[in-house]
Amino acid sequence: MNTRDWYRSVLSTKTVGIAGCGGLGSNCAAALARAGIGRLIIADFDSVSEANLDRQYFFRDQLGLAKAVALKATIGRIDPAVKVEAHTVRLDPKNLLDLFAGCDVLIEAFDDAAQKAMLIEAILQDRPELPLISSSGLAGWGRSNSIQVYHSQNLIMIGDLSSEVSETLPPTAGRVAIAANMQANEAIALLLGDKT
Amino acid sequence: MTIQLNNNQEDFTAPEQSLSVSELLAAKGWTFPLIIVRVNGTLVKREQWASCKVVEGDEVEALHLVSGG
Repeated sequence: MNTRDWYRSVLSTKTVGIAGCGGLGSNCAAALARAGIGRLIIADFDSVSEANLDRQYFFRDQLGLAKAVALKATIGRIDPAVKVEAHTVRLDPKNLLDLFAGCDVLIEAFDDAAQKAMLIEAILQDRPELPLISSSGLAGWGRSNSIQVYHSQNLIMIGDLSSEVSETLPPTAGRVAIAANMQANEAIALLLGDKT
Repeated sequence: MTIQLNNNQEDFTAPEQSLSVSELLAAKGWTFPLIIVRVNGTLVKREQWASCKVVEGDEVEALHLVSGG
């Protein structure tokens, strides 16, 4: 089997959970779908707004749809073989453990820092063996090389760990998608057994 | 005492041979509202920061969480 067929056959047996379908989650899901992931479990409580189109993997004809539902439809257009379990729900420390119980890797793709902390603490406490790929620090533009991959056992953090979104430092499409695709890239490496 | 902090070796003044997580973060000047702290791989929640002691040789990670996504 050639290498392309090998990696796709391995990924086709894997499940990735994505908590949040905004700038990080929607772009990460698209990359994983294109790479041939077998199953995605995606969750977000929100719906697509016009402002989201500045960086999130949605389209104008999806305005008003629940993000998880819209993203599932988009993934189906990329590759209908990818099984997508879409949940329109606000995640909390209890429901997220059930919802993502069957995942091989979990992606933390929230916008809000307090939500990020909630999910990371829940996983480190109750599922420390589950590989978790989180992100912190992606606001603004440029400084591509400042977005680092930080390993803390089964927790991988991606970002510059300091650039917080604000009025003067908005998230922009390029830098958010870099972080999202780095999350996808690290997930793929983990799933293929490449820990380097 | 010498510890590993975020994968770097660092020295801290610790008259009693230990520092609480709170003291360690204060010594670094880290007052971010959201930090994930692990000591030797175990999560230390904020309410335990004052009581959790860090000693020579410990591996400590303090990861700053900021909004954006």
